[in-house]
Amino acid sequence: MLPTEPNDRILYHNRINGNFMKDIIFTVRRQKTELIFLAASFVIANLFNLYAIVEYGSPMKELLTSLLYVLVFTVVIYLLSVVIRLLFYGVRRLFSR
Amino acid sequence: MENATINRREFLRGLGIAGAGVLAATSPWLSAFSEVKETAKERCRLGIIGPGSRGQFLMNFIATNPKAEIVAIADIYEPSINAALKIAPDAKVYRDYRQLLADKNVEAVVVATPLNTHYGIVMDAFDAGKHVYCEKTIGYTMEQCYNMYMRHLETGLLFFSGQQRLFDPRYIKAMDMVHKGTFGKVSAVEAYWNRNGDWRREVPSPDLERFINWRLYRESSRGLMSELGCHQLQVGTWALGKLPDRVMGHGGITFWKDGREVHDNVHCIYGYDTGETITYGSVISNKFYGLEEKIMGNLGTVEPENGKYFFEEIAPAPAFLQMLNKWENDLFEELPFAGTSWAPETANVNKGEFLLGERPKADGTSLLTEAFVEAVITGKQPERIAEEGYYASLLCLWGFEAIESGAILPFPEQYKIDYAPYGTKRQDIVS
Ligand SMILES: NC(=O)c1ccc[n+]([C@@H]2O[C@H](COP(=O)([O-])OP(=O)(O)OC[C@H]3O[C@@H](n4cnc5c(N)ncnc54)[C@H](O)[C@@H]3O)[C@@H](O)[C@H]2O)c1
Repeated sequence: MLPTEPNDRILYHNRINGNFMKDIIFTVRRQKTELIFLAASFVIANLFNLYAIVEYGSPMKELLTSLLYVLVFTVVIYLLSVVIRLLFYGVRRLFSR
Repeated sequence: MENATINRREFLRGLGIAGAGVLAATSPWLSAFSEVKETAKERCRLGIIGPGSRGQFLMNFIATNPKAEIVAIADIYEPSINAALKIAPDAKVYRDYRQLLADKNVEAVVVATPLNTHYGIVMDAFDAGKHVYCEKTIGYTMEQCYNMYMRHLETGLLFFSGQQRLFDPRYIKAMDMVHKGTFGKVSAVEAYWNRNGDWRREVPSPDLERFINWRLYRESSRGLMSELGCHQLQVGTWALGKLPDRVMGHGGITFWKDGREVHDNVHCIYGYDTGETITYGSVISNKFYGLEEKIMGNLGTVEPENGKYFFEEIAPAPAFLQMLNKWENDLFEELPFAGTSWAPETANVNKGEFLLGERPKADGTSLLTEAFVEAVITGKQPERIAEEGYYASLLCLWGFEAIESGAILPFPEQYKIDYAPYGTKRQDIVS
């Protein structure tokens, strides 16, 4: 019987085509964790902006008007967190073998 | 045909300044257009004297103006006549301008001959009862300019000169802002017109050299001062609203040593007793800075040619960018290999604002010719247009004399007329 679920169909397709690439499984838990990291990055970026506004005596409305910069910075922080975590788990795994 | 009407409408809309009253305060000569509707069905008959390069340029506008007809042309050079006939095929051709002036069918003349010939032609035109549009600079000497202006007053005939910036929307808007004090107290106007070229025209035979390249010889030209400076000095006094009190200058032939007699490099400083300065410079062996009149107030600068203005104080960059900038500077200060900056240090660059939202393509010449046509039909001399042309000519010729003499020259009192730029009467000027 042919599989009907899309994911299963892909697995089936891979199997009959001899494609045994490993599927990356993005669990709901992982998704949640990443969202939390992203949100934390956003909060941190905003805190930086707040600090800068106070430091340079700029108007508070820059909390909104600089949002684009803050978003870019959010992505930068988040990616940094990804790299750090990958490094961290990578090294840990190396030692736990 | 339709173009002319659209031009004017777009021009007035493009200015974005409230009403006719505002325009009248800054640029009173725009009153030339006050009766455009009444004159809609009228037509004036013009003669063109000297339809060379500039003359043909003007003819192109006049020929498309439904209110004007080019009925005659006069020139002494066949190629000019032939080219002009392509624009106005029905025009009567005269080889002597005096015959054109005797033509009763001609109501007004456009004089676009070389500088040294303007005086004789314009004076004869007034004597013949014709209205006159004369290209700038109007006369070869200050005395000639004065006599021409006086003859215009005596005869009551129209007198326009080729100062197209008076009708250039960028300039009108800029002056409106300057006069309203938008840029604060204007202390200086820095004008320059730089090119990199020999300023020569091709000559079909050597004996025509002085005739064709009349700009390069002293007997027919005042060089860069009369041909380029005239326009920009008018902008200076238009902005400052008064005439300078003295001028000093210097010039030389430094690069184009090709037998020409006029300088290829001139600079003049026009000073006011009240301290303001207009500087004018023209170099034709370097075009990097091009052409501009920088009107400099304590609150901002206008560059009408560029179509932009810049305020002195610009809003600082967002704090966030300043912070990133500081991090970058702190980081790279410590690194000996610090390279090109990635941080938004340019965030504070003053890019300025466009005077009219965008850079317009036209320079006012079309409207200037339209204004002349309107004036010929109504018979009304628009306010101050002759005076602006007169003083623009005087300023460049006065500067030329300063360059020639190497002396600091006071304003020649004998040539003052009862008018000061931007509409104040001479006796009203308060220093
Ligand atoms: N307002 C501007 O921006 C502007 C621009 C360019 C030129 N101009 C002015 O226009 C005038 C002409 O400049 P141009 O570049 O057209 O020169 P040009 O040499 O191309 O044209 C001059 C014409 O006058 C003719 N001419 C000479 N003597 C004459 C005479 N006695 N009777 C009849 N015709 C005669 C010549 O044959 C030629 O056709 C100058 O005064 C110049 O300053 C003004």
